[in-house]
Amino acid sequence: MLKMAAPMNTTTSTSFQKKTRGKVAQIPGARPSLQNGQLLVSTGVPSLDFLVGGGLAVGTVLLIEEDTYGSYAQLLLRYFLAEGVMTGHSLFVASADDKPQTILKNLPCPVEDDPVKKSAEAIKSNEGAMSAEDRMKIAWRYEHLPKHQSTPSTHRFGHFYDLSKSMPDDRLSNVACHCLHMTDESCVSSPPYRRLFQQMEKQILDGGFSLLQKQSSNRNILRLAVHSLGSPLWGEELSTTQHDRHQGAELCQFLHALRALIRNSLAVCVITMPTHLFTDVAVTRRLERLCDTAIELESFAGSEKEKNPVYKEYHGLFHIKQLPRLNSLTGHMPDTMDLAFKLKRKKLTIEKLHLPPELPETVSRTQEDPVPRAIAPSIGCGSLGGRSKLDF
Amino acid sequence: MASLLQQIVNGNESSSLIVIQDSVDVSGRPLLRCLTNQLSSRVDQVHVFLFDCSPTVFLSGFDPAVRSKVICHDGWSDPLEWNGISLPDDHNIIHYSALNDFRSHIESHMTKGVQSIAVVIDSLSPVIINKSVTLVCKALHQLTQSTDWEGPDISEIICLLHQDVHDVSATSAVCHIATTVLYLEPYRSIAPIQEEPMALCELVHRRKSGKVIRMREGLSVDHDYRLFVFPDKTTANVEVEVEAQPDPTANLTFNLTLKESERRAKDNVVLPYTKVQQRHGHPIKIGSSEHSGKIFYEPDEADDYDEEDPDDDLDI
Repeated sequence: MLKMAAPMNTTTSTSFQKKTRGKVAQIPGARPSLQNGQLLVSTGVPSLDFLVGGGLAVGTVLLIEEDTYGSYAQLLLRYFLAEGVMTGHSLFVASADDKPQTILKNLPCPVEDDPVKKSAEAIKSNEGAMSAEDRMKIAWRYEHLPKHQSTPSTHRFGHFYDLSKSMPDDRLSNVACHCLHMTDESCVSSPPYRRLFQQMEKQILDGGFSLLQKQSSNRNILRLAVHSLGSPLWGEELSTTQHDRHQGAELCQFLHALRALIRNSLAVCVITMPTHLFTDVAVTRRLERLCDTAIELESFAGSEKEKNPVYKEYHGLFHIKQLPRLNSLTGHMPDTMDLAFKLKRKKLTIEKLHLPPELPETVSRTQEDPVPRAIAPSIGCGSLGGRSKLDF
Repeated sequence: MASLLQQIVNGNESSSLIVIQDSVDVSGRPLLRCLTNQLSSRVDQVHVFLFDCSPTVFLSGFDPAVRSKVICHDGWSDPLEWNGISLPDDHNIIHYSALNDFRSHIESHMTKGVQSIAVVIDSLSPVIINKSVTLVCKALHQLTQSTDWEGPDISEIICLLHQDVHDVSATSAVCHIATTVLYLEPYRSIAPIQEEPMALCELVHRRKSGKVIRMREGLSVDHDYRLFVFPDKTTANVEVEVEAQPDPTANLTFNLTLKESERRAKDNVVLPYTKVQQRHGHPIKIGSSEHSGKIFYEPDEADDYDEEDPDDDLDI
C-alpha cells in the first residue's frame, strides 16, 4: 500500500486507541479531513472543495477536463494558485500555451476582510437608522424580532477572491514560485513530458517536499499546476506518427509516474487538459483513471445550450468523472451529480443544477421542449398517440 | 450593428489568428484574397506564404498599391526540396521544414522601418500533410506570440485550411489555437452575387475577454474583392414571429387602480388588530424578551457569500 500523507502514527501495542488529530505537524493552509483524516488543502473555490470531499488531499492529482475554449478551466487553475499564494505554499506552474508568468500575473485578488463580518456590521448600522416610518404595518408581529446575527467562524479554510482585481505583486513575491514554459527554445532536446516530470521531481526533491527524505521541522506544501497538458503544443514536432495515439500513450506514462511521485511527497497537483481534442474516448477514460479526482467543465459558450432557457442561469455544466478513494473502499459522495457552474462578475461558483421556474409561453420559449420528455406508457386513462389536454 | 464578419474583415473586431475552413464544394480563396486586400490598407507589409498556388497566380488581380505591400514566400514551386538549388527569383522560395522557418523568413525579407505586419498563409494543408499538425500548431502559436521577438508586431494571421483532406483531430487542433474560425459551406444560387450569397459562413469568434460568439452569415466576394454580407435567412425568420400577449387587465368588471383620494381613504381604515394593540397600551414585542430563542448562524465553508448580492438574486 502506498504511504500517504495521512496524520496517522500507530506505534502503541494495543489496537484500541483514541483517534488523535494532534500528531501531524501543523502546516498552514491544510487541515485534516473530517472523514478519513487525510490532510486537505483548499482549491480556492469553496464550492469545489465541498464537492470533492472538503478539499484536495495532499499527495493527489486533480484533472480538470477543459471546456472547449479553456477559459473556465484556466480560471480554476488560477484560483488554485491564488490559494497557494495566500497560504504561503510553494508554487510550480508549467504551460505550453500561455506563458506561466501571464497566468501568475492574473491571479484573482483576495478579499481581505471577512465578508460575513462586514455584512453583520452593515446590518448593525442599519438598525440604528431605522425610524418610525419603517415600522411594519401588516406584519407588525415581526417588527421586534432580533436581526439576523452571525458570528464569523474562527477557523478558516480557503479564502474568498475577487476576480475583477488581480493579486498584488508584493504578495506574489512572498512565495517561492517556479515556472516552466515548454516552448522556450533553450531545452527542446528531450521529450516534453519527460522534461516536465524531471522538473517536477527536481522541485519536490530540492524543496524538501518528499516524504521519503529526512524531514525538516517546518514543512510546507508544494502546489503543482499544469495548464493545458496534452494540447497540440505539447507534441514533438518531428514525430510523424499518428498524433493523438502517440500522445495518449506518452501522457498515460507521464500521469502514472507523476502519481507515484506525488504520493510520496507533500505536494498536490492540478492539471487542466483539453480532452475534447482527443478523438479516442478510451484515451480520455484512461487518463481520468490515472488521476485521483477528475472533473469536466462543459461550457455553454458557442454551443446550442447557450440559448436553451433551461440553462439560462448558468455558464456551463460541471461533471464529476471520478472522486478520490483514499485508503478506503468508498469515498465522499456528493448529494447530486447534476451540477453547473456560474461565473459572476467577481467569482465562480459551482451549484446544483436547478431548473428555472415555469414561465408563460414567450417568444424565447417557442422552441421545442428543451428537456426530453419521457414517453409515458399509455396505460389507463391516457389516450394513445397524440397528446390531448384531457390526458391525466 | 454591422455584421461580425464585416467587422472582422475590416479590422474593427481584432483577432490574432483567423482560420478559414473550406472544402472542395466551396473555395475559401476569394475570401482570403478579400482579407488580404483589406489587410494591405491597415498594415505596412503583408507576408503571404503560398503552399497551394503560385505567387503570380495569387498576385494577379490585385491593385498595384496592394501588390507593393504584399511580399510572397513561395512554398509552391519546390515544397520538398527536389529541385536542389533554389533559383534566384523575385519571389523567395521557402522549404518549410523547421519550426522557426516562418519567423526567419519574415525577418530576412522585411524592409527596415516597417511598423506593423500581417501574415497570410494560403493553405496549411500541404504543410500538415508533409510535416505534422504539431509542427504547424507550434509555428502558428509562435507567430501569435510575436511580442517576444524584436521587430514589428504581427497584428493578424490568416490561414486557409482545407478541412476535407484532414481528419478531425488535425482540424480541431488547429482550430483550438485560433481565435476566429470561419467554416464555409456552399450555398447554391443562380442569382447575381450582389443579391444572393455564394457561400454560408459559420463564424466562431473568441474575444480577448473570453466571450465566444457564434454566428451564421451569408457572404459573397466580387471581382474587385469586395465583400457582401447577408444575414442568415434561417435565423432571421425565427425572430419575426412576435405574438401579441393578451392583456389580462383589459376587460375587467372591477377597478384595479386607485385614485389618490381613494388611496388616502384606504390608508385611514383602522385595521382590526390595531385596536388590539392599543388596548394593551403598548405594542406586543416578540423576540425581545429573554425567554425567546435567538438564531446564531455560522457560515459554512460551502457558503459562497457575496457581499454585494447577499440574496443571490441580482443579474450581474
